[in-house]
Amino acid sequence: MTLIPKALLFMAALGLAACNNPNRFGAGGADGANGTGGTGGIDSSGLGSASDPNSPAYFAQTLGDRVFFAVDQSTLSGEAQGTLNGQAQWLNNQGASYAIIVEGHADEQGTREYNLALGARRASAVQNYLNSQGVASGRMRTVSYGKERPVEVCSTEACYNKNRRSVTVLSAGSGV
Amino acid sequence: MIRLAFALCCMTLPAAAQAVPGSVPRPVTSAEADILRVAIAACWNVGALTGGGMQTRVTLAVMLDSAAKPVPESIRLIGHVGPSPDEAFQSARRAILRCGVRGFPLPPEKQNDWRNLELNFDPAGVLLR
Amino acid sequence: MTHFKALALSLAATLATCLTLIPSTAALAQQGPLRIVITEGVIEPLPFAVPNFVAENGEAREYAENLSRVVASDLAGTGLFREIPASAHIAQVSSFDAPVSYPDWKAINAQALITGAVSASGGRIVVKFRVYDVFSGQELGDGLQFAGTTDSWRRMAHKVADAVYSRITGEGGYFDSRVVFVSESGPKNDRKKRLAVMDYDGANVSYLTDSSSIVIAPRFSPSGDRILFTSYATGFPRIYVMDTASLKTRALDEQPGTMTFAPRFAPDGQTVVFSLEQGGNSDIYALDSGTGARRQLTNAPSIETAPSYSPDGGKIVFESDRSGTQQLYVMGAGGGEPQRISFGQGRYGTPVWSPRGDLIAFTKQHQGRFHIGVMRTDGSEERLLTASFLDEGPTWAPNGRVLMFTRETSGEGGQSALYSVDISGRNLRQVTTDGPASDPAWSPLLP
Repeated sequence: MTLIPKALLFMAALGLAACNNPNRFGAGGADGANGTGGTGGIDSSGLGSASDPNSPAYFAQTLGDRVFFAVDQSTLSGEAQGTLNGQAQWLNNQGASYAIIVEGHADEQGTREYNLALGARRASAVQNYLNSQGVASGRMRTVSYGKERPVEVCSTEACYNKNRRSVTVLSAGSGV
Repeated sequence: MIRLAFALCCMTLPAAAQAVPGSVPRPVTSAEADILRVAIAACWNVGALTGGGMQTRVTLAVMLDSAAKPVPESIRLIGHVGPSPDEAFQSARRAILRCGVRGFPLPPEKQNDWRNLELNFDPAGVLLR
Repeated sequence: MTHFKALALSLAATLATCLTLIPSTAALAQQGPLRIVITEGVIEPLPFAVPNFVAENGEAREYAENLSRVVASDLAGTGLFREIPASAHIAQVSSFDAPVSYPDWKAINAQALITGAVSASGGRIVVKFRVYDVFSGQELGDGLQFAGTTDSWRRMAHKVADAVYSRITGEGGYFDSRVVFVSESGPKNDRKKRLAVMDYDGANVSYLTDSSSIVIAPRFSPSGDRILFTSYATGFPRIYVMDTASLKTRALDEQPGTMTFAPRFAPDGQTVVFSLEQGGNSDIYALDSGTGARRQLTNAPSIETAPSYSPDGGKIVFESDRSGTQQLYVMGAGGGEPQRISFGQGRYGTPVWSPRGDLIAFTKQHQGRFHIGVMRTDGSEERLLTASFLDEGPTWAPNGRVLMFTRETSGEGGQSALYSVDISGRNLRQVTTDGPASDPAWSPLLP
């Protein structure tokens, strides 16, 4: 359990931006934020097998790394809470060494800045819920991508309801 | 459009207010005033008005000579309501000069009635169309 | 009925007739003027002619025709003017100072004539122009002359067009201006975005960032010397300011655990208003871009974003969903109780205050369609100007007469492009860009 305090100290030392870069969707920018150790989100699907309960792949694929929302809403459905209960359990046990970035997204049926704010609301709703399930807030950060990063590209509800999501992304704790 | 105005003039008979020829001239009838209105409207380029111009009503005073042609120096802005009187005035002035260049179709015997015009240009109705 | 009224008035015969310059005939009593109300007109762009500018020396020849083409494009592009092409011209302008042969221009129905001349030497050019009101047979205003380096020739043509536009319509022009925007590439689920800036007509593009981080919604400073924008360079949305000349960029607000976005300058060019998100809630803040001092302007559990100052700096219009749906609100620039100004069916966002101060443009969503619209600053007289699958983010031309916005098409291959529209709703046209583009913001008129 000493890993977590070390991770926190490490993060504090380097500054949250450098050590907890959620920028899965592109390289770091002008200020070289992806420089020093312990940076970068882990692409969950790349590591381990979905049947190994200790692996990030298990977290993402078997437990489910995302929850979905109704149009314009940030409330968590029963199903969403169920998924998050599973996430919280894992994060408190097998995944206790991980920090997380909670992403919030919106579908394209809205203006750009409002959707950014809406994505933030969704991410925060998830973060608060996970916190209520025992995940320490110091391990979590939120980011909103608004409508900038849809996973589905069609313009019908079948795609929209997959884009209105919040994704829990595992982030390296210390020195991985 | 000028041809249309002339056609209207010749096809419709002026509704007469009864008068004895040679004494008090008959006033311009509503049909004759209508012809003048249509004649000017044919040259009023509302499409060239900007937002402010379209929200501005202007009233112009114009003198016509005996051939019913507008005297350019006589054209004056005598009233306006709205944010862009200058633009609206210029546009109305152009309309008067363009369609009046060969004289308006007005009855010469009534010229005392139509030598002095006060023309109110109101774009609001046009916008709604 | 107006005719009846005109008739009645002319019968009244007791009105002052000091308008008249010619004495009435002796036998008659003074008649009042004949009053007529004209409520119809024709929708016809004003025909104009701009013969090729006269090249006053050899070096100027390469600019002469191009200058007049840019002037013609600017004017015709407004939808308010229509060019009478050179093939229809009767008279030729071979010398800038030669008298105008008005009958020749009247004969082809040109209402306005623009003549110009250019001379060039050693990397500098001088451009002169005059504009004539053909029907009254006189020059409209005085001739003007612009001088500068040869690579600013397009700007000079725009300045000529601005002067002509202004003299004929009585309004300021907007052609000598720039637009900053986001240049896009790639598929919908992996868009690459970078900042770009161009002349308002699409010429002279230059790119200000690479595509390595998502950038959105850039805005010019009041003098056009800096650009505010939101970038994911740190992995989180943050607001930055860039100097347009040096491209030097710095972050404006770096409080950890927050996201910042939607920045705009106040007319003072120093204060920046923006949204700050914390704990899931977004509120509007203002900061001094010099000292960094920050103050909170809204304090509500709802989303507050997209703030925009009035041109006198006294008020801010913004969007908030405090009523349950996105609506527009106006508050004092120092904060204070906001007044809601949008009341129609649907959702309202991205409000921008016109540089003339008289209107607020916005994006409206209703029944699955997006619209760009305008309303008076108290919310009255709402008019929708466009409709499509996705129109958003209007920006005002410097004269408050034209709006540019983003239009995105639907589906997998959906792409964004820039469009402009007149505030009458007419003259909707695409702005040419090298590839997909979004989030335009118009500069002021360049000095």
